[in-house]
Amino acid sequence: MERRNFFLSTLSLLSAGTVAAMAAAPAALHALSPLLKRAKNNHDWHDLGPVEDLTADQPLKKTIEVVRKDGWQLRRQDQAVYLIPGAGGPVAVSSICPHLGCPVSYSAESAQFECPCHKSFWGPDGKRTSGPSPRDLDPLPTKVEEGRLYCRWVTYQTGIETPVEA
Amino acid sequence: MGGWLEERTGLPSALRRWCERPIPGGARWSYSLGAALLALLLVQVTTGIALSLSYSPSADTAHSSVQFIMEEAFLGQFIRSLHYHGTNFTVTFLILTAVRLVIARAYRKPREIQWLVAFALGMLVLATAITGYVLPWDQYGYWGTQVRTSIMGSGPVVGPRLKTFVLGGNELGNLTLTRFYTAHALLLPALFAVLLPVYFRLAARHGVPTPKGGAEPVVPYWPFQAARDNSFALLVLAALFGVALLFPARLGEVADPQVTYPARPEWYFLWLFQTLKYFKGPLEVVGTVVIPHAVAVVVALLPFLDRGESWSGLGRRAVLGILALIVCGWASLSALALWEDLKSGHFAELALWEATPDEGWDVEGCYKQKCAKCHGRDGAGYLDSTPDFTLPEYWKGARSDVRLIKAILKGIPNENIPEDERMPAFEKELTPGQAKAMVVWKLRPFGEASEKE
Repeated sequence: MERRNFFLSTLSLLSAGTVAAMAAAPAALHALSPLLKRAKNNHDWHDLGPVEDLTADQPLKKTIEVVRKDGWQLRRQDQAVYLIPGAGGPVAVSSICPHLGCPVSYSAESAQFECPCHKSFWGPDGKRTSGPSPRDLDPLPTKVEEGRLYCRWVTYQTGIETPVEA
Repeated sequence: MGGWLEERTGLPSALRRWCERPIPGGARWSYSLGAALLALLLVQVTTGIALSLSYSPSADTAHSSVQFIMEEAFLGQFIRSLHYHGTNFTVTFLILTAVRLVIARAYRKPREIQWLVAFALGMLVLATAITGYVLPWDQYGYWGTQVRTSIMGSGPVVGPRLKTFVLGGNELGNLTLTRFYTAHALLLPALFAVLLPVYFRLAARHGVPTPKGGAEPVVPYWPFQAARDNSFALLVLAALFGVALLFPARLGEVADPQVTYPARPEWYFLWLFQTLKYFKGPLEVVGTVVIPHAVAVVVALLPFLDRGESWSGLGRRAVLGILALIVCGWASLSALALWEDLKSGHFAELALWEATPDEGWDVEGCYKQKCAKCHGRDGAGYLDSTPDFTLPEYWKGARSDVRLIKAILKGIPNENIPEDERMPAFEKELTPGQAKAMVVWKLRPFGEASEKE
């Protein structure tokens, strides 16, 4: 009798455990799946216009349309890009604050980039001057083809000292 | 540890009482139907939560988000199949459990309230099932819900207002989806979660009813009945997983208010579909409202019909008679509905809807040989009456695959067009799968190619 009870108790516990696992596992794995998949940045090149029109003595704001696979739909989203005058032509930087991802804008009056959320500031060259941002404004890849400037949109991880693609 | 928890919650002793509660007449497999039902409901809850992570209830996004779940989300197809087949399993075990409880006289004094709570739980399960069908926003769910809510609207006195309330307006649309989603995933499960502990509380209070054969031998629930309950629940879940793997749930074409779909209710409501055929005109309300509600009321009131001690008394015989009438009526009406659908070609029509493109078939060759003469190699069409497949406008709006499949198989017998220019029927030469392949791989690309330019 003792042995039979032990067998039935073990069977009960094992079956109940398996039932619970069968109910929980598919849903849990599904919920955790975004962690297993690396988000892909869109590698399209965006035409910003002829290079000579983009060379100014202060940062120039341009808007590009980024197409992103967003779950069940392709979403078009406008993103601001700043072109900073450089020795070898304009350099493109992202308008996303490296601190916590708020949109950064350039103020011609104070001649600096500023983030409205936590008051980070960068000079007109995109170098960090003050505030909580851990790094300079993030660079975006560019190329020149037949006299036109193209850039790619990249999303970076926020809050760390070196720019790493998200 | 046990003492610490006991002093603060009383849970260990409650668990011990639950495990030691006596099972009069010994452990039985039939008692395990309820355990299987509970395990199935647990799977419905977890898969439902998983689906809700990627589902978007609006007329524009519902279908594509379900498609995303099935084609792209990790384990999405399997989880949706579990949820879909889980509904059928759940309703099956709900019916079996109800029949067992009636046969075991589990409704008798002092268990009347427990019976009513169980009845309410069963109704909540059915309501949750029904509100789920419209969510994928495919033809099946759309038209099924259209018919059901129209039945509601034709009801007496409050009918039309009830329909407006349920739809969130006068027509099926965004507000219908958000309402049904809220009911399906929030309101009804919440009510269920409130009532289930009440049921368990009453079950613990009244214990297991003594079976007909008498109370001897009495065994404790743990481990004798628990071993049966848990292993049976495991077997049922294993069967559900097998079915979900072998028969993946499908997603129909996106809901199209312009293209009527041969809607049929789920198998457990097929008997009502058949009943509806017998009550025409002003009597329709008898089939749609009176009969289903009468059945529900009779089932709810069973405890008050059979009140004596005797297992062969008048009340007991009346209850068994009613049970037999309901089961036979349900089975024969459902069988009649299936038989009439079989005779009227409903399943042939359904085959057009469920056709999958025939892969090993020469679409190009067939188009060149049979279609290009009138429709042209480029799909633009030579005759005044042929449609221009290359126009993006042609494909805009409601341009269902089935409408084109039907045109291919049945032809378009338009009297206003000279006979030699009419679209002929290719029913004898092509299968629905081949017609579907023609639409998906040949005709649609004509429109897509010109859209890109």
